[in-house]
Amino acid sequence: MDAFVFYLLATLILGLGIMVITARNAVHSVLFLVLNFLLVAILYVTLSAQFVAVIQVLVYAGGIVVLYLFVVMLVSLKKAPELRSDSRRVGRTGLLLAGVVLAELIAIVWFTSASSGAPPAQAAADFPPRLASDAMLNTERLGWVLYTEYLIPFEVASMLLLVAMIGAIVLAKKNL
Amino acid sequence: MSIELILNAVNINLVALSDQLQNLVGQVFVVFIIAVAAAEAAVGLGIIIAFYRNKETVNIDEMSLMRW
Amino acid sequence: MLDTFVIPLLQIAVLVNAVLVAVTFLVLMERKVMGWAQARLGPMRVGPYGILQAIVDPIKLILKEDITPAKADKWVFTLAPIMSLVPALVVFSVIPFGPDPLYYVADINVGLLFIISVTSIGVYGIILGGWSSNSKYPLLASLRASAQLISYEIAVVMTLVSVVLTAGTLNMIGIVEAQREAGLWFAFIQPVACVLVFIGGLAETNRLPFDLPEAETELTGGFHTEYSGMRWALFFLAEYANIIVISAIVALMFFGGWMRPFPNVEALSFLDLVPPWVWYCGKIFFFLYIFVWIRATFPRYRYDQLMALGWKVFIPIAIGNLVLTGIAKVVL
Repeated sequence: MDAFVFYLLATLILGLGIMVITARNAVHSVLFLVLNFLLVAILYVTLSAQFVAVIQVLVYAGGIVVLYLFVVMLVSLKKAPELRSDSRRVGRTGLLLAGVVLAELIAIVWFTSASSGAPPAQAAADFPPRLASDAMLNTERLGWVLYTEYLIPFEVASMLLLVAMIGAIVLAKKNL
Repeated sequence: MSIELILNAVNINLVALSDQLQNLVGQVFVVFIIAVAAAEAAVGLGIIIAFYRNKETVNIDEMSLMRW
Repeated sequence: MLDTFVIPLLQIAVLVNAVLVAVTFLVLMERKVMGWAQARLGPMRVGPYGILQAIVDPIKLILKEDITPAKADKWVFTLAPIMSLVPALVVFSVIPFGPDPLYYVADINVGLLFIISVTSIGVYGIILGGWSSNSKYPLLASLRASAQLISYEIAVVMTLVSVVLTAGTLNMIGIVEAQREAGLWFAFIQPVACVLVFIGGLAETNRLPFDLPEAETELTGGFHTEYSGMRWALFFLAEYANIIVISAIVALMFFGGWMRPFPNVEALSFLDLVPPWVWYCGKIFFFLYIFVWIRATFPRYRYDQLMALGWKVFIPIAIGNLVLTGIAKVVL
């Protein structure tokens, strides 16, 4: 059952991903992207990461993609730009890069599979003892880790968002 | 949008590994990645809007001037 | 098999039907109350006191011709009403109508976040409906509607976070139980939040006084100008289902959900004779009535006033409320 759900989701996600980059109409492309993100969120739920799943829907599907949709609608791409003349070269570079990434992934799997088994026990010990119980919910544990161990990165990320917000306003505003 | 797709692929990997290793660090990273993606989308789309206002096109090949 | 498939499916069927029937009668109620507020009778022709109007209206909409504009984007044009209705119905799956599992479809530990994120999907229906019509007034209206929705959503979510802080959980059932433990409805602990969420809800459902996306005098009819027949009815259903969602959330988070008033006072225990879901539906009905009441009484805002209200008043108040709640939580 789990395997069936996973392969179904994976096929749909990959198919929609291809649809996103091949769709002629930019708005259709954005729609496929939304669907893709929703399916990815379902995948997160099957991986018992409910909080990330909800954040995925809330921030990606509900926020970022709406932004894309706005821009696509406002800029109104009536016709797709012509293909670049040297698309062959781009394709070859892309294939090369994809090959490198694939090799990298295989290497990671190859070298880590030898030492698997040890990480789970060690990771479980990382949590504060009173939080290690199974009753702890995913959201609570995530919040705990985020606000203790990763507090400074968290603050940096919020600063980044603030800077991005101001930057976007400065860029988009006609005259300040 | 392709960047979002790529980031999503990375996110799936991180969540899957965090589930596999029973380690929440992966999910923490996903949260950061989503935050960065939001920032990047806002700034990127702001640039596109500003460019469209000046040049009436969003074709990347036309963006060859460093200043005007 | 019975527990995993049959019972949830039955629950879902009952729930969806109940919501849709509630919507048709909500429309009737709105027309009646508006009529009374304006010293007239409202619909009177069909059935006693016009009560069958609720059944006749959907039949009329189903029988009407369904027009697709020649220059519309057909796929998106068909998809948009569905995309606005489905999230509105999905939200009901995590709203508990009573304490035991029979009364809710799903009990997930991120319930409130689920509601927020699913309702944020509903904006697509509006944007795409306006865009795919390929007509300028619907496009303008949909841009207005989505801008309004996104702005007010920030304020509402910020406010809900302060309630979550008070309750200490995101679980919908947990929030109600927290009110039982506090012995007080959250409306009394968080009065500012309660008012903010309700007004933000008015804005998010595009109701008067915030109904600019549908302002008839400026935009002919809003983002669904080009729609007709059943597809228009889907937008309509979505709008009213969203009103019920907002009422249900306010009743659940601030007015004790399915619990009777003063759940810890023994002297009032005879009130328990009324089943919990009746209490809850009664509370929802009360807020639905307030929605209609407000529509009958208030004039419409101007668009810049609306945006200024959202960004310069609501969001600062929401953040202030959140900070105060945090301080109170640490100190107490």
